[in-house]
Amino acid sequence: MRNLKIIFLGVVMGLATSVAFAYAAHVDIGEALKRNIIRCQAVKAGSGIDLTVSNLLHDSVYLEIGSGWIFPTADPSMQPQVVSRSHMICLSEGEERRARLLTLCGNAPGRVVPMGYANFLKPALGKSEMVAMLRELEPYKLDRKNIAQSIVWHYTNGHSMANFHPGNSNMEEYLTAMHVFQVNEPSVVDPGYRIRYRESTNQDAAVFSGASEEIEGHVSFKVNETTNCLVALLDQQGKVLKPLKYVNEQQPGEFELSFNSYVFDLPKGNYSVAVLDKNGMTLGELPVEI
Amino acid sequence: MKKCIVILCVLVTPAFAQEPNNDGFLSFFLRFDDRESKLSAFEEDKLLDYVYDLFLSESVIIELRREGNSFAHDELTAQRYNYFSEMCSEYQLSESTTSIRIVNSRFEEDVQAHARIIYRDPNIQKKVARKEVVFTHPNGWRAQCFDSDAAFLKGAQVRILRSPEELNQLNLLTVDEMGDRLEVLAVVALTLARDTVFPSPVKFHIPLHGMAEVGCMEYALMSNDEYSFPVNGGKASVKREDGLMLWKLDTDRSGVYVIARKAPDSQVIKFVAPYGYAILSGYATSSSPYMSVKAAVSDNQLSASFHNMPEIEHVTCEFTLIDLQGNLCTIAAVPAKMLMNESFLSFLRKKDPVLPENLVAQKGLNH
Amino acid sequence: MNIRIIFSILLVHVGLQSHSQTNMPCVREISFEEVAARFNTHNDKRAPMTFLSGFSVEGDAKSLTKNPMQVMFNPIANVQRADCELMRWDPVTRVWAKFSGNQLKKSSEGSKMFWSAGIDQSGIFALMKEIPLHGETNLHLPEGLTSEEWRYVQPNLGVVCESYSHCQTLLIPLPALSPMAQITMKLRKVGGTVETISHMPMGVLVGDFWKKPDAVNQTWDISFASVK
Repeated sequence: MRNLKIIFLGVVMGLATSVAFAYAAHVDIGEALKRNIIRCQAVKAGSGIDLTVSNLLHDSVYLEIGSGWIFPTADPSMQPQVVSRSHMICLSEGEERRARLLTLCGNAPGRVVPMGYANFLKPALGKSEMVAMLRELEPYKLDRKNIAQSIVWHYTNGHSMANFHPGNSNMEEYLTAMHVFQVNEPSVVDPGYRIRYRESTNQDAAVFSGASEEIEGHVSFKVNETTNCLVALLDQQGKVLKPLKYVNEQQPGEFELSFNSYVFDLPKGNYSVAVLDKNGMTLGELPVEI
Repeated sequence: MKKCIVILCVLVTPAFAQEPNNDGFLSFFLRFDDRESKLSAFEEDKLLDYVYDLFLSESVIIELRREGNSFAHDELTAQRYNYFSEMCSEYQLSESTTSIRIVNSRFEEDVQAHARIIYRDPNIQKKVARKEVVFTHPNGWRAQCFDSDAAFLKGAQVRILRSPEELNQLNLLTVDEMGDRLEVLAVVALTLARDTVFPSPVKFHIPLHGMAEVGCMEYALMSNDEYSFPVNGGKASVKREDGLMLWKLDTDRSGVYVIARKAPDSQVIKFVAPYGYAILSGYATSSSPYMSVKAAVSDNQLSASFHNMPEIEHVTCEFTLIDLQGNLCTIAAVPAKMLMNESFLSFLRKKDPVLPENLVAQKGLNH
Repeated sequence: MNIRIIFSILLVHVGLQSHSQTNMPCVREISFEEVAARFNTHNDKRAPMTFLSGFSVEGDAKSLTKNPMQVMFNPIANVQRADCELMRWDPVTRVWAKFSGNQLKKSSEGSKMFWSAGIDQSGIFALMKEIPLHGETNLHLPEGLTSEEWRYVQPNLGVVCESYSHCQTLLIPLPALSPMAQITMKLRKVGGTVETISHMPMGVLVGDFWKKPDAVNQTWDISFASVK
């Protein structure tokens, strides 16, 4: 009887420890590094980083690297790498594995990290809002699209929604990303226009040129009596710089018109896109910052 | 330098994927360096372009070409096989959905390639990955949409316009662009919050009480001074579902949507201008059936016709005439039948008894 | 002295040029009344068209080429987009001519549909519609009168026709004329005096219109009996 009790206790203990070990072995990268469960080495590779991970535990490790983890560079002028897609690496005892993590740039003005660069610092989890946002975006596989990069810069560099240009995303992908963003960040105000910046020479979405080429957006206006409307880009003094759209005989009502204009020939500053009636009166105006 | 060129190549070379075949499968090809068991950095990057599509694909086939029959070739093929096995576990491609096959012949599409990866079209997969929900509004209409779109439907408004007053207010002409008269079955004004445009159309289920099952055409109205029908309507129907008569409307944006069918009537009513006057415009209206039709005024302004009219019992007319001095004269709410029996002039006379006697003198006509 | 004058002339010229290059962009409506007074509605084959609306564009040519202006028209009831064309006024030949990109495309703004085209040059533009019915109406002047030039304006059809040839029968390229249309004629009497009749309603000149409201391709006699 006593033996039976010992066996029973032994089985219960064994089960409990195995469950405890199983939980202990299923860790995220931050905890794994803190608890010295793993050793890892990141090297810059195409579209992300190659992460070589060694299991230091006498057990299997399920290492989770969620989206939103940031791999900073030792040289602060270089781009930190933000993981855009969660990854789980399964390691048996003492095993070493290499996995490619898709990453985005975590600092817009940062220099491009050259291929093979290995001087990354210990990874840190990004802002909780960014982590939540990237997790929501994950199922839509947009991490190689410019819009995903712009969203990351919103959190890391405080870029406004004006910088959320579709870039290489198709309209469905772009609208999906915008919906997800607006649901997650209802308090962020949409300025109503987008700026397309000059692409880097190698069309790398992670490189922010800061040189605005084109603006596009929507301007709302109200028409009280039928009139012809001119949508134009105005300078700060209200002088028409570029006529963008001319709507013939617009009936009364409230409307919204899209616009786009090349702005590479204009100096940086404050402008506005206005809707003027045939007498030059303003029916609607949208301030834009180029 | 070499490295730079490779990197540049990687960045400028667009990822290529074939058009999906009939089964919705896509494929791409990879090459190993000569006698190597690992892909070059260039090829690895290409693989990475697709790796998450593979990850979400429900069916992945990796075909590996055996280059020869020698022992050395078998050894190399085995190493390459291991490479892909490793890749599968690295990227967690499920064993149940991924298979690696060895083939002996070259690939027709790319004879130099050593491996072909075939996978299910990711766009099909994406649709599967996005969760669909049915959103029910407190006002009774429903919308079948993606989960992420549901939040945008809370502020949406679906207003069914029924009464002739509402339709008059809308200024709805019941003719299509070809001038054919239409029987309007239902008009719905759909207003999405913030003028949202959904990434893909949402199916709105709009209950239409007191209506029989009917096949008809669906139009998204064009708005100008009057709402009018574009020429290309889509097929639509009102069907009983869950005890409700439902019109299912597929749309991604706000607008005024109408279901209607061509009116069977074919009567033409023509009116001729009285002497000294020309016709500027004319309207015929009736409330049963609801109808508002603009007259086709002839180029010389001397006659006006209404086409495809029903029995004229309930039809009333309104005309605006102009005389040679540019004075306007409106005849409003006159029963069409009466106007046909009597002449315009008698109506004008009723309006202004002095007119007939002075007509010639006043209008300066050389008659 | 001469060099100084030439130099200052050059400076003024360069200044003027640079001023004209940085012209303030301006878009102005052209109404039917303006078309009736200054232009016509003939296409490059001199067939009359229906004027629907018009506008003029002035501004820096380079900027317009780089950043064309989109012109949008609300769809017109009972008018097909395919029947309409955006045309540019040619002041030399006095006709409206087609230009590259003049075809109207369908475009949407939210839930609204528009017809649109891109304008990448300055000029005077008009949205015109073809007149489906072809034919001609002859207006016969009384003996002893010839027309040196005439201008026929029919607002309900948006048509303005003109001719600068000497004739006794005015050939108006429309199958039927409206009594509300107006005609302006420069008439020469035998013997030499020239008289101008301005904006005369056709219904005053040809009272017989009301007798045959369905008549087409007719020859009417102009009577000046009631014209003082």
